[in-house]
Amino acid sequence: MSLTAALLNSLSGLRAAQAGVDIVSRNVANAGTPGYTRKTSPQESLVIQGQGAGVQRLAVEREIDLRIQRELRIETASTAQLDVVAGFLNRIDSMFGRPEDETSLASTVTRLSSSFQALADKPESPTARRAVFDAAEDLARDLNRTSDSIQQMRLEAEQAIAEDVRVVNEALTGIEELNRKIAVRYNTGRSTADLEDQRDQLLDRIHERMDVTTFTRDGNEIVILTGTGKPLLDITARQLRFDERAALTPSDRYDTDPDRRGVGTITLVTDNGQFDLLANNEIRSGSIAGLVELRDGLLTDAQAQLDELASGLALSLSTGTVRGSEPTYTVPFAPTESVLDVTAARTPGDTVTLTYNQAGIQRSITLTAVEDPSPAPLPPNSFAIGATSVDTRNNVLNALTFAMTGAGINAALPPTGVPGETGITISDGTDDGIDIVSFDLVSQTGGGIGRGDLGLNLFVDGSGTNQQLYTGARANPADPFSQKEGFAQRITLNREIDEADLIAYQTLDGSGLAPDGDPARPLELLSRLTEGLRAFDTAGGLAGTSTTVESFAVEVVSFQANRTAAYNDRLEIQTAIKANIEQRFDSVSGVNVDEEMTELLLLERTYSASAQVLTAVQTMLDELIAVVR
Amino acid sequence: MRVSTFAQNLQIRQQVTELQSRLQTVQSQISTEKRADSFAGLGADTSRSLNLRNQLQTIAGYQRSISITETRIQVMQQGFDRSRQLGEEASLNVIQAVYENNPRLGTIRTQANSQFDEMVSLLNRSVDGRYLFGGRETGTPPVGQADLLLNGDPTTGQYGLNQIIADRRIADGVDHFTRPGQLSVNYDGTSDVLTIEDTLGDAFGYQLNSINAGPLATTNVAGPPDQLTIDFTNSITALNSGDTISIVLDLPDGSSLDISLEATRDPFDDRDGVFLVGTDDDTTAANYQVAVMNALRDHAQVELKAASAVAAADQFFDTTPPKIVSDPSGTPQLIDDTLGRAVSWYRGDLEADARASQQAKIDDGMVLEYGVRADEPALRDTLKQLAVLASVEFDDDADLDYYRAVVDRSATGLQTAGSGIRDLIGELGQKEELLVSVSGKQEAFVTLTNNQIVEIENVDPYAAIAEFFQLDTQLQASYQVTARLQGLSIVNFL
Repeated sequence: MSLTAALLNSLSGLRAAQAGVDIVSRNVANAGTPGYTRKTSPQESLVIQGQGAGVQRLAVEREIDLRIQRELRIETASTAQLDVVAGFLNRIDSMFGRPEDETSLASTVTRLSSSFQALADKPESPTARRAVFDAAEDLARDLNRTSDSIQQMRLEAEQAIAEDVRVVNEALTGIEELNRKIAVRYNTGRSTADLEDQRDQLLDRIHERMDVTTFTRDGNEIVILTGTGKPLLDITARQLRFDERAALTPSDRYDTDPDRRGVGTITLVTDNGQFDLLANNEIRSGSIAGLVELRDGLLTDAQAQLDELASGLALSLSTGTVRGSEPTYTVPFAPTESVLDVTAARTPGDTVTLTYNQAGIQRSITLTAVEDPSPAPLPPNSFAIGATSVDTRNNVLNALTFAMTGAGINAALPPTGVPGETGITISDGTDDGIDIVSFDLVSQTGGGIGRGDLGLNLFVDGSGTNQQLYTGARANPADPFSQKEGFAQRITLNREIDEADLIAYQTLDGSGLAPDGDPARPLELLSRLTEGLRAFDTAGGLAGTSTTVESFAVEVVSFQANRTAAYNDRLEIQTAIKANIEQRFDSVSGVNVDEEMTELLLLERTYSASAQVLTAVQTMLDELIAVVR
Repeated sequence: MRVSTFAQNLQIRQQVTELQSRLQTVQSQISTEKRADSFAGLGADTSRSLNLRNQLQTIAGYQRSISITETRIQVMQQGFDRSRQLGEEASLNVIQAVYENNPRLGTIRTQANSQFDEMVSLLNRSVDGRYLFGGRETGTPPVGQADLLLNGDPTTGQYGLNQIIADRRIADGVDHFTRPGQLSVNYDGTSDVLTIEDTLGDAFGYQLNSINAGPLATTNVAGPPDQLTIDFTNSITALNSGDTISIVLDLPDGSSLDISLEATRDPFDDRDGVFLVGTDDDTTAANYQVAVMNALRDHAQVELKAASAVAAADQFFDTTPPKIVSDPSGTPQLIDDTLGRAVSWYRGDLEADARASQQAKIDDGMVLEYGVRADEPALRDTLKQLAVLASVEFDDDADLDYYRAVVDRSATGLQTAGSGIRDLIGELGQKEELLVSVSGKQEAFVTLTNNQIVEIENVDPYAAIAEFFQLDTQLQASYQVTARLQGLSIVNFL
């Protein structure tokens, strides 16, 4: 009886050792496999009916620290997010070239002003004129190219989101399948360690892309929730849907209103319908969060800054003054008038100014153009830009009449407009000590229209036959976007002006065009770029400021450089943090070959000892039989 | 702490990769001396770097403008210098020629002609195909061709200065016998009053200014017609030998002439400029009339003729606009040459402010205006006086007094113009000094800015090389440790 028991014990020892070697060999073989966790199989004394019956190995387990694993996953998501953001931002940064090469937008703007400087020295030189056009064209193209790249990057972000969503969906399906297998094995007491490894790898893929939380259910199944607890996988996997767009323009933006949304969004399909994950800010880290941040934030910011720069550039050059006809006072006093055409008033900020003498003191009334705010009332001393120039004229006339009545000069200098035309006439018919001095329109886009006006519409919106004047205004007050939106992508050199126009402005006396050698216009345009302060709106995180076009270009480039540098720094720190946790995780879960080899030695010894016992039992049995015989 | 083999390998790998990437950065820093190859690498210093580089680019533009401006001003100054010299040479030359004992008249005209030519070509100087003295009209020579200016353009039929002088000479009555200088002298025997009348008004010939007839009563009537009268009543008793009747006349060029005639009671007094007190008032007046007519005719051929030529040149070289004499031998009038009957001498810019016709931006907020135009008084008058000298035919010894009258006027005109040119030279000289001082300041600024850029963008090569060696050592050590660790496996000891 006991000899047989000894035989069986030895056999169980042999079996246990074999199983141990099996695990050791797997561990050693996978020592270099990423994501592999060290497997152990605890052994215990086998007891049958209160009797020891050798040794047995229990189901294989993983050695894992779940707390570190959770930490690692959070850091993985953050790192993936920063990594994708920094990668894109560095591409913008590299578009500006190396500092010493002076290829950045800021330098291109300065090259344009330098070309005006050189032209002022030789206004008649065809080469100098050509050089201005070349520099202007370079600048326009630089803005176009940079904007195109930014939109291309937004599109790439869109595509990458689509790819990430696909991977997440596949992983969810895979995990659903594994969950099921694990449950079956778990409930039958079999090892689930290897399946759990596989499941973890799939789960890691999800974590890299978006932040999710998980918990384990009975039967070792896991449940996956979004950051705020919307279930992604609970027994069955739900799918994410992404309505990818094939092309993006600057005005294609994210909006919670599906009708106004120009980019794709990620929805979770539930039994109760679709749930917009982006609208509810459900994805806060992982590469998807980074891509969304780029597509809807960082890259749109960059585009907005370029648009603001392009807009400031075009408008600073195109500002012009249209003068009303000169009132002529004769002695003795004869009736006179000044007629001003207000067609050029089409941009908010344009002004109409009437200057007059009253009892020997010079006074003036200035009206500013605004977009039609109706039904809201107009601000004081302003007029709305109408749908047609005649409408605008009527608006100016109304506002002017109101203001002049307020100033008590409406009777002395009655303003009138010819029906159906765009002019306003201020008449001075009596010698009452109230006289017109001037009646002028300052237009942001009217460069070169008026007498003595040195402005020039060098840049316009769109090319070829589609080219139109750039005003920066909304075509319609209800439009969500103004013309500024995406202007950097469309800004081009005005094809309707030629090289002679760089010099030949209309002389103040209206006698014709300035002669070939006149440096006035290039000097004026130069000072508009380098000395004239402009109010720049807040654009993509860059605070509104009053500065020169040239300085604003510097601000844009340095803003992007600083932002890139900041993200690079954060990425560097984040990568270090992740590496540290990864190492801690691997230290617990990874395989140490020396440890395994030592284990192997032990198993070898157990095996040979059990074999020795077997041999001894056999010898004893043999001797017993021999005695009996 | 337990260490897994994989984690250990991974860590070594990561550390080596990190070292290698850092080493690459340092290596590129050493070879380029630059801290970074993009703006992000400069971080917060980006805007300073961009601003400084923009400033350098802007200053480079200013420096180009300054150098171009300097060249132009130098050429202009050479032109002024030479113009001044020409004026001086010409006046010295003509004065010597007409005041020497043996006048060398023949050389005056040829010399004046070539000096006029040279003056025209000085005013038509160009730099880089750009005419300097036409204001903003830089594409065409501002002054017409010398020959056409003097002799007219046969292809267009336009007058030259010579024709204008000839017309003016007729209109001024230089050669008029009965009305020399457009003055008539009449005597009324009943009232004993002699009247000198300006028949053509203020435009031409002699202009009556004042009269002093000693003991005789006079009147000075401002017309039209302007009249001077002398009452010869009782002149035979009132007039003594040595009394003078003096008439002051203004000439077309603005100079004046005093015709003084002396009374004499000696019938054998045959000096010039005397008239005989006759037996009664009428003969005295008649004698005076003959004498004054002679004097008017004589002076017409000398001072009036010279003044007329100068006035013709004034007309011709006027710019706002030039004037011509219409109908010189009928009812002459001075009219604006709006139809372009005469060759126009100046085709440049007419805008009021000549200096502003050429401008250069030489520094932040600093625009230098340095245009000088051929129609400025100093340059125009030099050209004009040379033209006058070039259009008078100095060949007949008998006309020496006339030549002297011409030369006196021209030489004075040239001197005044010469001092005007000196003023121009001084004015532009100041601008040149300004250019030099601005340019010097900018050069100093450029050096400073370059240093700042180097500080921002460049690495300290010593620090970089030191870091390189340190990384090199670290990396070598890492490799050695890796190799040792590979040997440290229990497998090797079983």
